[in-house]
Amino acid sequence: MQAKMHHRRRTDAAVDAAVEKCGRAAGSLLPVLQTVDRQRGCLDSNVVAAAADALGTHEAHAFGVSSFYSMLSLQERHEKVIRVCDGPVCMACGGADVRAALDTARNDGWTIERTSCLGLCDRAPAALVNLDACGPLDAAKAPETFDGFLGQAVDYTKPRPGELRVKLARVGLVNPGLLDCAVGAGAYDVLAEALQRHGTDVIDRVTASGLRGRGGAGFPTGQKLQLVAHAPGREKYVICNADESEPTGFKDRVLMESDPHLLLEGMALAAHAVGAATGIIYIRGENEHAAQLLEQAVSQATEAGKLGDNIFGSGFSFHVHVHRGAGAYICGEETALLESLEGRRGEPRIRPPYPTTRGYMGRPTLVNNVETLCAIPPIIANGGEWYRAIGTSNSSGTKLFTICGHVQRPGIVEVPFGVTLWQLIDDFAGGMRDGSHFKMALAGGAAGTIVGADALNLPLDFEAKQHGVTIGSGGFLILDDSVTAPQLLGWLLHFFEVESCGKCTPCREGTVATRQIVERFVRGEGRRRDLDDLRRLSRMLEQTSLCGLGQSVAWPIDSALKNFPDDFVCAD
Amino acid sequence: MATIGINGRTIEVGDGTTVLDAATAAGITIPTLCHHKDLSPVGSCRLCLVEIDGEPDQIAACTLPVRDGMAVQTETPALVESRRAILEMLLRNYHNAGYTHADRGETEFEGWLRHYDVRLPDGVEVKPRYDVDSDPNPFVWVDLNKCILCTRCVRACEEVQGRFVWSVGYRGHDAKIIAGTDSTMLDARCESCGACAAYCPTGALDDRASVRTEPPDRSVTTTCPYCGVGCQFDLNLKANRIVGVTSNPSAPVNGMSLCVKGRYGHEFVHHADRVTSPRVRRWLLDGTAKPASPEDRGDWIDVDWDTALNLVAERFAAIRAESGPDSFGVLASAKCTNEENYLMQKFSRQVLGTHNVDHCARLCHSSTVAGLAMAFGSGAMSNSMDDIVEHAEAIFIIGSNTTEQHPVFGAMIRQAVLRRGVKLVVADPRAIDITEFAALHLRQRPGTDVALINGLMHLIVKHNWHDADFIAQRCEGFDELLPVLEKYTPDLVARVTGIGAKQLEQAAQLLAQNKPLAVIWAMGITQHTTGVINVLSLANLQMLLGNMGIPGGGVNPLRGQNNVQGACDMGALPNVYPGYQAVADEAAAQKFAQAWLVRSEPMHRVADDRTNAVTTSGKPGLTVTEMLDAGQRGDVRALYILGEDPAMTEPDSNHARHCLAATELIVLQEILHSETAAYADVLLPGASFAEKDGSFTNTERRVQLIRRAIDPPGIARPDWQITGDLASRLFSLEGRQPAGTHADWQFTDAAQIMDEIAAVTPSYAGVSHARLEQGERLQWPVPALDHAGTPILHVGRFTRGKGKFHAVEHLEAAELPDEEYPLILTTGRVIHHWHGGELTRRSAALLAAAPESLVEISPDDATRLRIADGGSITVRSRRGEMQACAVVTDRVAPGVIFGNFHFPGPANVNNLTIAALDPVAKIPEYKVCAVAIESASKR
Repeated sequence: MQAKMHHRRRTDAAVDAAVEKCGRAAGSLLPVLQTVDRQRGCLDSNVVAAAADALGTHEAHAFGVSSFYSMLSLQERHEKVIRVCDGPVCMACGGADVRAALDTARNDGWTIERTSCLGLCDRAPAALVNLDACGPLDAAKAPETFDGFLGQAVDYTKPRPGELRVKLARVGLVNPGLLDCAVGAGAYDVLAEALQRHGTDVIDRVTASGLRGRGGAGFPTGQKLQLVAHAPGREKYVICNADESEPTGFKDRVLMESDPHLLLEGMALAAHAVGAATGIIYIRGENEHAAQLLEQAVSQATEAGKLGDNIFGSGFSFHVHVHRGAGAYICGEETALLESLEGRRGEPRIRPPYPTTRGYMGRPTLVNNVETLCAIPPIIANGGEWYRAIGTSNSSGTKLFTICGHVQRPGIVEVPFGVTLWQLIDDFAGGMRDGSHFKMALAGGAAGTIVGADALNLPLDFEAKQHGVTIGSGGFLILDDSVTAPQLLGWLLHFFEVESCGKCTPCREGTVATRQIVERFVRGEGRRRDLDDLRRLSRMLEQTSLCGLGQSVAWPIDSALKNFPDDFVCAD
Repeated sequence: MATIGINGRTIEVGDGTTVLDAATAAGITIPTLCHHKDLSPVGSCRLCLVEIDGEPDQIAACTLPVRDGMAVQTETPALVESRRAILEMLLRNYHNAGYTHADRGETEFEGWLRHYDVRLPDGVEVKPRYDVDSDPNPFVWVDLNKCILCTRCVRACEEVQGRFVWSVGYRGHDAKIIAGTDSTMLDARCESCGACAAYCPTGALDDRASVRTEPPDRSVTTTCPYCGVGCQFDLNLKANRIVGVTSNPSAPVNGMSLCVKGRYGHEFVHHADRVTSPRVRRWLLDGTAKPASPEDRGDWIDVDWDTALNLVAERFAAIRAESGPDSFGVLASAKCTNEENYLMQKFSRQVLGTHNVDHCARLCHSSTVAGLAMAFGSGAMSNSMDDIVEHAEAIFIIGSNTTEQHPVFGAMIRQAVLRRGVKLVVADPRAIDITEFAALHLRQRPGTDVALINGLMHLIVKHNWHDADFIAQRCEGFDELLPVLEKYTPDLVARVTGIGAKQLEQAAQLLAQNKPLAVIWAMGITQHTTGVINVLSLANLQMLLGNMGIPGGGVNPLRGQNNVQGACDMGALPNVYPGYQAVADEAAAQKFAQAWLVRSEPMHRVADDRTNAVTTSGKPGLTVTEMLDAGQRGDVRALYILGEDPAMTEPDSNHARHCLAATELIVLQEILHSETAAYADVLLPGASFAEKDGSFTNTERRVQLIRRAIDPPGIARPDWQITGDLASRLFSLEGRQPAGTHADWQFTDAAQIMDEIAAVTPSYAGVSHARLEQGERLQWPVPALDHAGTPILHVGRFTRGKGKFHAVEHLEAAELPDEEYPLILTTGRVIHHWHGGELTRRSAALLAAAPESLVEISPDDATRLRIADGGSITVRSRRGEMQACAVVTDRVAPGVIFGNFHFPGPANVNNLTIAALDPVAKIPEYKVCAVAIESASKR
């Protein structure tokens, strides 16, 4: 085979246009690929190579990126795509039947694909029809999606009785598409006032509030602000992690969809605190609706002088960009998110250094969850002490909890920390679905614990983990006895397997090996040796995985084995 | 410094060291797979986990920086359990189809499986997920069923080779190593350097030639026979055959790095074209008249050594007696060892008595040697390759296709750009590969280098960027230079070179404001009728900027052949004795006359006694090109050629072949039936680099050993033995006896020859095989046995005292395009071939990668001349024509075509080139001649 040493530049008109729009920088690789993929329905090797050439990178790298993100396709695809969610919530609510119904009905103009949890758990079983949210579906209605059926979104404009709405306060009162409406309700007032004071005031108030990160890890937000503010370097960034992809999690989506200016104001306050001039919202690509609302909000706010250069004449400038992901749970891990932003595969970095000192483009970077940032304006407005007085001693303030699965009224509620699971189910979600009884809950998402009835009365806060209940980002899947622990675990391990980035050995291989074992139990073919292997592999995953994804695979395994040993029936 | 404990041992290490490196330094082994000391750490295999007192998690040692007071455990039961689990996970996806792979023995992965006694659990069966041998690359074997995704290959390609062929594609359990857009390695512009295979710990990537072969029984460390970079590696041997090459991490120049030729190009050693026995033409044996036909000198007859050498000695003696010493021409060889080149010029000067000795350096860097000698007093690369890539702030490559001709150094430069942000400026008429890494590419019209360099210096002086102190203290002739520079305004330079004023200004700024600047050149500068003044201009530039005698600076001509530096050092040149001692220097002549003194027995005295004496003529002998012409005229009656192929490599090769055909007697000492063999009367079978001992001197003046690893084929002999034997026979026939201190020819090994070289060559005085065997790294001058060598020349003082500026002016090339021949042809090499292709065309894999003569033509010209990419073309010049395959590419500018000189006969680009010579160095102008081109189908 003859060598091809001479570089021949590949070109593609759509790539050139996308590069024009997205900018000629390494970080534009994913947006450029995504733009072309959305136009054409798929990518091919010429597009990938042309994107590499246009952005000054290499085709192998560009292909590595193209093939990493699940929303991009390197195989020909119809223009119209239905992505059917196979997350644990949808699977618990009949997702498999929906998929089967769609496959049977088939429509020549459509490609039907699977997708990991879409964060439409309040509409389970759900799907993404092109880029529109769709659900709840059932096997009968599923084929109607070919004709435009999208189902019905849950209405959050009115608080459920007993809610304490701080971050959701303006939901229902403002039109998310209109800046004036938000401003009329007080948006950016806090920012205007805060800009008259030094940024340390923001840090002081947030520190006093005891606010802890709402993405799952619960890191003290004031301390993180402080670390970034004090990190050496003139150029700093505020990045909003809106890659909400944890099964059962959709609170950030609701916040962004109903009050985008709250998030922008929170980011601006954080930027003022740490000395950043640029903010980036990394939003999962499946959530196009929220991404467009945010872009609209940014442009309206910038035009009105609430963002942009010299805000309120204070001399402080802050520009916000919206960056879409393209289907990768791992990008919710902050260092994987940064890799993705910089135009690479979303593979976690080695830490240290932490993003607070070396983050986006090697600069000090504040990465915070949507809900965390949304808590900042009310804290600055009302003071840290006010916030601290809400919730429990170690977990101050309110929390957005999502309750889904086998309950009457799945959805989201904002309540102070300390609420019990029982209250969430009974008081806020209308109790278990007709005629069924609580069996277990998946607490805190896939990277959470599988708990039984003894967890129902435990006050939920960051310390609940000591008692075996992780709250994670606040999502709870409630299940009745139609589901066994191995079934649930199988769905979760399937999720981890397809979402593992593949970088480190234990996660790449361990998620497959554990899923295979658990599926044996689902089929009733489990062996005693399998239980030992499952424990051994779980220990390996927790002990040796590179990042939180692999480590947390152990939590549902261990808790399921501990709390529901009888569900793991051995055939030998 | 930090003090840490590892397994209870207290260890002091530098801050920032990783736990893994600290442990390694202390002799504690922590298992690794994805880690390699040459590559950036990724921490992905997770095998190197350790426990730290006070921390709950197991942490990867390869990415964990030490902390003062840290207490590390590397092998607890928990860690062993984790490692076994990880290895088991890898094993669950590892499918070994059971074939052997010769050069590896146990792989690293297999070693750890054995160490931790890890096997697949009962009932688990691994199915292959990929095709075995899934990539058609002729050099590298790909079997992803053995891949454990350590990504060493990806990083080696990026961080060693700078090529970016590999990446990880897909995600999670579907992740796999991909080449390019998941296509093939060669489609992804792979250079086939084999670094990926060399770094692979499992054999998923391997050397194709060593798959399914028997393991070697031994290996020998030696020096590569290709370019002047001087890479070393281990030759793997089985019985008397080379079965492969393995990187030797302690190789001084290249470490693990090798190029496609060095790693995979040694098939020629065992090729059927090897000459295995002396051969003479029938007419010589029969004592009949030489056949008249220039194309056919008659049958070859295989003979024994006595017959062949006696015959040559008799013919030489007769010609010497009839026509005197200067009726001989001797061509030494840049492919042979220092020892052999020393003997060849000694043979010429002592045994034959003539300075008519030269070699192919005439055709590559004679202008460099001459120009640098004029400017500085000595003509070699002033700095070292590692020094340049580590210390230069800017690099100016002009007329060197570094990544293809000196691939390992090219890769080092790419890394200097990638890692240190070195500012690279490339001036080349073609958009050669290294331009992709350049901050600026200046595309001058071929043959306009002096104008370009003068234009740069014009701007440097105008902006006052020159180093006035350096010029004042260390140079002379600056005042004479200034008025000439004055004339080279950007406007003028743009008209002459085609480079715009803005680019010129950018270039001047980059070169002047990033100090130190290293200047690198090769044939693009030297192979012109202006070769010497091109070199003088570059010497001017580096003096002007004060970049001489400092780390990261200097003048750095890259030598093209493995030992072209050494062949020059050894005095295989018509104007100098070993160590550049001029033949015109009376004292030098006397010194060698004494050292090599020969006595004639009274009965053999001849009328002119000088015939039997060492030549002391102060007049330089003939150059290569002149010798061939003299052969045609009959002034030179016999040529003794060692390992050169003038029929292939001389410019205007129709003429060169005509000259060879007309020469009375040609004795060719060769390993292969080369193109020149057709014109030879006696063929003496020499030994390849793998079959003899000796030394090569690389481009940076580093003397390195080659070692006899296998026996020569048939009754072939090491070349130094052949020359020595011939000398002794000639002496004995002529009744002459060695009488001087170093006149003898009774060498029993190559080391003795080096001792003689050291005795008569001041710059090699401290070089000995013993020192080299001990691993000493010697770059000449090495004036004494206790001297450590000289990595940088001209520190503090130039060889000639002050550096001399030479005011030189642009001169047009000898032949410019016109209506009849409207295009400029420039020539050079491609990465898969070397020199005239004698060695590389005899490697099936190299030939598969680059099977034919290609001519690059710009899209503009191609469209105008209706030439299709891949189409057959005929190129004509006033001297001949060639057939080739067209490559339509914007690597060349409109009006310029490029041909490589690796293919013989009708495909030889030297059918076209012109034998116009530089007046001083006598180097031919290979880089510019006028040609016409047409699609072959038209004819």
